[in-house]
Amino acid sequence: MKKFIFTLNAVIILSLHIFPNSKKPSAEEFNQQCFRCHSMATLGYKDESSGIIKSLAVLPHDFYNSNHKELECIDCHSRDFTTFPHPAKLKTENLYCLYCHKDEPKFQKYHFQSIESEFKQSVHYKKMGDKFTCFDCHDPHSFKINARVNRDVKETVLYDNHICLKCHDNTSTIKDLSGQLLPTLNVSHSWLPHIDLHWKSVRCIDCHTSPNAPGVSHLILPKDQAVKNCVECHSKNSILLQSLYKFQTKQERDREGFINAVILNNSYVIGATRNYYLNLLSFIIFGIVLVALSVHGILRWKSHKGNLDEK
Amino acid sequence: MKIKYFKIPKTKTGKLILILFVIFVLGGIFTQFLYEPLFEWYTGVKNGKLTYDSSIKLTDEEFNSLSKELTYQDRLQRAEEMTKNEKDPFTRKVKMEMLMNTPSFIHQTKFNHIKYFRDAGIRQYKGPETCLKCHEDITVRHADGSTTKVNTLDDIINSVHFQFQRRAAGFSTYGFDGKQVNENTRPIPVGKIDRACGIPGSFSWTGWADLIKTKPDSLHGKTLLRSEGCGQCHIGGNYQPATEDMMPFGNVPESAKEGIDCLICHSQTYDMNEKYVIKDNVGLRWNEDRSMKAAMTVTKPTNTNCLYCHQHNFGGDTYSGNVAAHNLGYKNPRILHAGAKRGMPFSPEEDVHAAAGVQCLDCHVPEGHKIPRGTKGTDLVANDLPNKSVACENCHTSAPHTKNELERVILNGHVARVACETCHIPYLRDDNVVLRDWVHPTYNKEEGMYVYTDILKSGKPDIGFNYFWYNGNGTFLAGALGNNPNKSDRYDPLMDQMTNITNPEALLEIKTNVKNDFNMNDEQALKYMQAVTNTLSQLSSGMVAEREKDITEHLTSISNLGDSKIYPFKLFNAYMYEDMSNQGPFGAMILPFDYPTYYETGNTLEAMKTAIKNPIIKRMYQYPFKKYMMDDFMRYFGVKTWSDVYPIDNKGNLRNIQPHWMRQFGTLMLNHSIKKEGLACASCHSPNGILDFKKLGYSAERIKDLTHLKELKYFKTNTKEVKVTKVNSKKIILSKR
Repeated sequence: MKKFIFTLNAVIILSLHIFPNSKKPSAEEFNQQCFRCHSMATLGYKDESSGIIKSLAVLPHDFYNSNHKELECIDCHSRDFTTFPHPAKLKTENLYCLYCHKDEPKFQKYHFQSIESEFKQSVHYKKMGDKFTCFDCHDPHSFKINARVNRDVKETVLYDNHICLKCHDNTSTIKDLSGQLLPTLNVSHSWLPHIDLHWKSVRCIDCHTSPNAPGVSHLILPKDQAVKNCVECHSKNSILLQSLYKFQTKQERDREGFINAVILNNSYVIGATRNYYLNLLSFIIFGIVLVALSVHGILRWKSHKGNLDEK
Repeated sequence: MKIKYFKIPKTKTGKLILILFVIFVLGGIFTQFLYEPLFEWYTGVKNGKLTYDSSIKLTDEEFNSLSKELTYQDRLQRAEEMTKNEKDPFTRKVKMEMLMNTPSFIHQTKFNHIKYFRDAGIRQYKGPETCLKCHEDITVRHADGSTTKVNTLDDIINSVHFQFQRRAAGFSTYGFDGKQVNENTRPIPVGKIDRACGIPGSFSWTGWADLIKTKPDSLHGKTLLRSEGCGQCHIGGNYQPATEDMMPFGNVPESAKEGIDCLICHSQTYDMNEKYVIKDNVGLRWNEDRSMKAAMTVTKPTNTNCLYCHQHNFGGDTYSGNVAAHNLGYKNPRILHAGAKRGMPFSPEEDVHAAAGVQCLDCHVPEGHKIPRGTKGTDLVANDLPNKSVACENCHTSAPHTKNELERVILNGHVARVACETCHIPYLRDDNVVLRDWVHPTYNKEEGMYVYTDILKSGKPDIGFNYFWYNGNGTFLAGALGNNPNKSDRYDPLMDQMTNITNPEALLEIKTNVKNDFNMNDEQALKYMQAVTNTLSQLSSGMVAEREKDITEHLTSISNLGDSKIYPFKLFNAYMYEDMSNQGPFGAMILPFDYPTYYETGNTLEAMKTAIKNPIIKRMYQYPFKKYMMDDFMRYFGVKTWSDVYPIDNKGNLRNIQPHWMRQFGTLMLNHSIKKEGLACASCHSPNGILDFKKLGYSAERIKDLTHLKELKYFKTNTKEVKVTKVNSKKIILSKR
């Protein structure tokens, strides 16, 4: 009898292992364990070498609104993080976006490979090497593809520029990172008329990257190669159409049809109408007005003269 | 022929010009000559030339010997430093003597005004007039780095330190009608000037400067005159607070400006023994130190200056580190108030910043004579710079903990939800007063006068202070507003923990004190306790329902503003007479006491009656004041309109007056007496921790998690060597690092 119970027990225990509780916890349930601490908004520490505050916080609201919302934390991070305190060896954990993003066909349209090669040629990588990673600009826990989906260009600008300004708006951070005391952005951009308007309407990368990229360019250029010629944007063939307005134009074309999109485009920002027929039309209207005015003037002068003659 | 000197103009325009001219002239006469006497007659304020006995002219010899005396320590130190390599002691002595008497050596001192006065021939300090000779304008540096030049006298006259009021917006206070004080509405003057308060038991008009006849035991029946009143801590030196500034027009009279006490904030040798009440032909006022000695040591304000007055609200009058309290006056010594307002001294012994030599103005960075008190506040105190932050994170950043690798991260994580003060002010001093009964005074033989009875004093959490969610805003009656970030409706302190006392240790102490102080039996004591341990029991059920409605409709949305954190708040309640014609669901207008009657006779009803006969209180109950400010004031208070039924009827009898406890405890922010060692994890994260997670609005599931943290054991290393301070039925564990 004893033996039977023992066997039964063994069977039950074994079956529990073979058919584990069939309901696998959802990603959200799983992540909850990590969020017990990591949802604290100020979780972090002051880095001993740089003095910069390193945040370890992942805000659940941001995460579940990000592109990575379906993932479990350990999809990217080591499974060893499930133990607490986290093992010391994990401090050197080295994550890289392309581990996941390289070969997957569904990511093809984002051109991760060309992003990688652009990044390798960018000024950040050239100056700082492997010390500079994707995560220095993009927080994977709140990353949300932006330019492609956002209808409001100004929002895109705000979101994107925030990424750059996190470091570049603070001269002491830049000094810590580059060893150079650089002038503030307002000083280095003082040649630009209406600086504040530009800040709000153009992304840093629109002038500071090479424009010939399939997606959003990641080839950040050294400052002497940045766009400094007004006409490059404020013209018919504005480079902004290749970058900032690329997705907006495409979207609008899809939504409102080609002609409408071309006519209703937010053309003032770029500075010149890009439709030949509209240009022609406005010249014709202008000509007609001019002719009408001069005819009217001549007639008035004639009739006045006639009145004088009568008197 | 009769010459017409004056002819009434015939044309319409002519008549209009004449009428305007007459109005202009009459208006000019009114404002120049009639307004002031009329105003004084109406409000009972008094003004006169202010003179001070300590303003004495020195001879050159006196000036020189005084300057040597004042710089002696400084010169000695420098001479010692310069001669430290001299081995022969006698040679060193001779060298030091020479150095110390060299003119340039005498001039190089931190008291640079000695040289200025010497050169300008100033040998007498005459008050602001002396200062303004050189400092007519000052350059004010603003937070954004810009500067402006302002008139010094205007700058100080328009500061809260002089006015105790603010008419503009900029209060973090919300009325019980849901309106932010003075925001998007007709602004009224609000601040200490018109805020009756239960801690001092009076307010600034009725208790500005008084002389009290006391009969201390030590004098065997002889009378000792003592000074008392709000004026002792305020920089104006005249017969009342700046009443003129409350009015729609009118300005502080020139004579009042003469009373400004520049030196109490700027002199390093100010003699607090000169602060006592003096009586002159006009009335009672506070004396000042206007000696040349005090003027010669003028510098920027140091902690000593601020603490002459402010230690009163931090450590209290009877705190041994209160310097002013050891210098009570050459004449009519000031009365000391037992029972500290907050019980958290700013002193090297009690505060880690004071110990590190941090100056008040390092955190409260002034702009001219405007001094910021931070963007948060529950009490109705006017703020000169309401948008200027004074906060721990301005220096400590959002990652203040740096020591242990594992711990610092988690501790920094708490910063988002838990204020620094919550852990780093683990206890207050024991004399922190929580319950003060003004209606039943006790005779103090040592002092020889009747004093209020403090029936609960405590520095322990859950008794002397408690923890609330706080988003920086407060109610009109000093209640912290905020909510658990889960935005649940479980957290409702204005119906719950701000209205009752449930801590068994507190209940026992109140009962013991009440029985001893008032000679009550058990039954009487229990009855007495009911009102204060459940303050809502003083309201009718209709009023309670109205209160709940007001909270839901007007305050919930304000509590949900911003990001709340858990903060510690000192608790306070007072038993005082109230004008029941002006009662709402959150309380009634409390009535002040006349200090001499109160302290000398202990007849509290008579003391209150005397105080409300003060002309300005009478005016409060009349039409212009009702319309000008009382209606608005009471709307914030949760009372629809101000009832102008004066509490004394035509026959001189009191009407509609009852003694009551406030309907909820006041909660005052705690920001000083910061301890280096904060609370350890287990102080809160244990089933019997000092935070009542349930009352703080957490769900049952979350409470279970918070009180049984499975990770806690890894932080045990730090609680192993803890200093356990048994200050409570719940114990506080201080972390020791």
